[in-house]
Amino acid sequence: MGTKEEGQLSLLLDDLTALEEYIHDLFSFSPLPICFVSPVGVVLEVNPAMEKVSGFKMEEIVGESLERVFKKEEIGPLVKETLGEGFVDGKELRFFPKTGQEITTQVFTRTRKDEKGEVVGYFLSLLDLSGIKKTEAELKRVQAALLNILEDTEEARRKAEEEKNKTQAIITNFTDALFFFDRDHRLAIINPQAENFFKIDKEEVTGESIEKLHRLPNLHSLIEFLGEEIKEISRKEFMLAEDSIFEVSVISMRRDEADLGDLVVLHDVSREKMVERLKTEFVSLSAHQLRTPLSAIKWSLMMLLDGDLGPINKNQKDILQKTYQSNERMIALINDLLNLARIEEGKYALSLAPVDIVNLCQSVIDPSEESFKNKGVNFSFKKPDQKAIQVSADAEKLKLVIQNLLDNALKYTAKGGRVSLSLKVANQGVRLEVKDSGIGIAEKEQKRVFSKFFRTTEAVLIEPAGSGLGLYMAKNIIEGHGGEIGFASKVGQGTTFYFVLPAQS
Amino acid sequence: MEPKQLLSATEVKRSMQLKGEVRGVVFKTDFEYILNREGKEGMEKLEDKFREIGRPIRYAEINALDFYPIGLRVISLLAIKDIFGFSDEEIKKIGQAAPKFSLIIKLFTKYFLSITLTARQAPAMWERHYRAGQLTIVEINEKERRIILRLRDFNLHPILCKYLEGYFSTVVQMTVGRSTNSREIKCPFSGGESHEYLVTW
Repeated sequence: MGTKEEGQLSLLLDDLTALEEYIHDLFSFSPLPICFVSPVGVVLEVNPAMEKVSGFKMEEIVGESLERVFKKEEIGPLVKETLGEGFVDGKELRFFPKTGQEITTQVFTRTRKDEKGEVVGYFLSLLDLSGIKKTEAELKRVQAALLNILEDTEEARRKAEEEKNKTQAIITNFTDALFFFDRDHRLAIINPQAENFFKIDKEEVTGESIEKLHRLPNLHSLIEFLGEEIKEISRKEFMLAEDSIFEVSVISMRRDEADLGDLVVLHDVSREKMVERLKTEFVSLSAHQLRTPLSAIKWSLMMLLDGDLGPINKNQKDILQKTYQSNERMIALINDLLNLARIEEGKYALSLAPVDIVNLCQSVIDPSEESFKNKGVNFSFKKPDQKAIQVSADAEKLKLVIQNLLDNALKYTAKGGRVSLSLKVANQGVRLEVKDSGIGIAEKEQKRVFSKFFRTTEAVLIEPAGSGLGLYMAKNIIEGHGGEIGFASKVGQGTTFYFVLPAQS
Repeated sequence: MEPKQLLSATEVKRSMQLKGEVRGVVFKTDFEYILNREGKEGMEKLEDKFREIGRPIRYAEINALDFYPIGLRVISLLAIKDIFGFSDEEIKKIGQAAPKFSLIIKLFTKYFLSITLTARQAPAMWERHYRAGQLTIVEINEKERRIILRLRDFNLHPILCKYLEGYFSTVVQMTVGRSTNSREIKCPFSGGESHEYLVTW
């Protein structure tokens, strides 16, 4: 061989070697596990990435069948497809490295052909899907968990929706008018009754602030009544118009200490009020009509008793005396009824003026002391330290209250018992107590003590003639003064009635 | 007692007088095996040995396709046996590993479609490795899964007998995809006319 040819061969050899090194480096560099497989399925070469993923060294895996690392039933069809189609573009196969631990892989193949176009083998590469599969499994788990949460949320939402619908139905069909103000005092809910009573459209008022509602003519009086702070109230009377009267309650809504807002309930009592008014008017009219003839009877009886119409014998006098007393009771009853009618008509207007309550008490006590003495009941007036206590009161009405309390104490305290009236300056005003050692009030009857015409069973037995209006009027008068009245009682041990009048401002 | 050193100066001299050439790929595969088995340190020991006998061959500088004196083929295996104290079976393993690393074998893998096709290429494969000896196929029996290869005029050193046992075994394995057994059934060093190898699978 000539030197020139040798030189060319040497050059070609160098190029071939360089090419081989380049291919080797490229093959070694690839992070993707690659192997070259003969058409009969024998591994002929592997790159380092394949060694790594399979755990087999090259000399361990080269010459081995692919079935060493794949399941026969899975790799068979893949080889067939590769040889038939020339390639497989990603098929999921289980791969079994030396450790035997299954790895899910995506397998890619491409055939290699010789110069005649004959398939001389194929390259096979793997994509380790175990990480992806793990992530996929985790995602599925998370998805399942999310779906569960979603289902729970949906269930909760459905229940909440059901509850909301129920609540909505209750609110809509509630016979009372309802307003619900949120904690920012914006009108959040209003029911059809409220719309109807106040002639407003919920679309126009919902979401509006209480200040804005205050400016609406139809709601002005209600908001004025409630106050912009919307404080809790219970069954307070509100007159929207002459024939439209409501009992208003404001309930502060809370959940777990959180302030949700205020519910305003307006119960329409217009009809009851009308009936009551008619009744009161009837009572008033009847009482007036009765009082005139009763007064005439009284004066006639007095004249007879005084002998102005001629002498009467003892029997006649006794009968006339009893008739006179019965007539007196009748007049007292009529007076009570008239007072009651005035209270209920709102005509029992109080004329407030500064009054020395110590002096006032004394003026009531003085004419009554004889009665206590006559019955044999020990009476005491426990005066306060102060000589005089000024209150703002309607003296006449207050006298009625004190008189009533003393009369009751006397009536229901047996001979030998004790009655005391005490006065003291309390924190919020003046407290008056009338304490007796009388029959007491049964617990089950205590709730109705201040009700109109109510008398306890025991009281009726002792004093059948009472009207049952005294304490009702006393309550109205004291509350009319902005005060508070109450009692404590135990059957057989006695009763203490008290009232507190606010301090004079 | 230190084992007897096979690679004496006489042996080196004798080997270097052998006629023929061998391609660098065989040294590459030897070095690859040592690198895998004994690590870098082992490989350096082998390089030192070559330097010591005045035939410096460095792994990084071997050109797989270049031709080298055939005596170095013998020297390489004897040096390995001496340095690492390998048994004959270990030498066979070097032979078994060689085709897996061999660039020349890679060039022939396109014929590894069947044992018949591979066998047909066997003489050419041999010639691509060695300019000495002739490799022929005596028998192929696919049914009984065996092949007999004959190697004439290749009486370099008995150490190569074991090496080639392993080598032929792997080439057949790479074709049939099954584990194989190989055995030298005739050998000039024990009275045979030529080497004959029986490989079964």
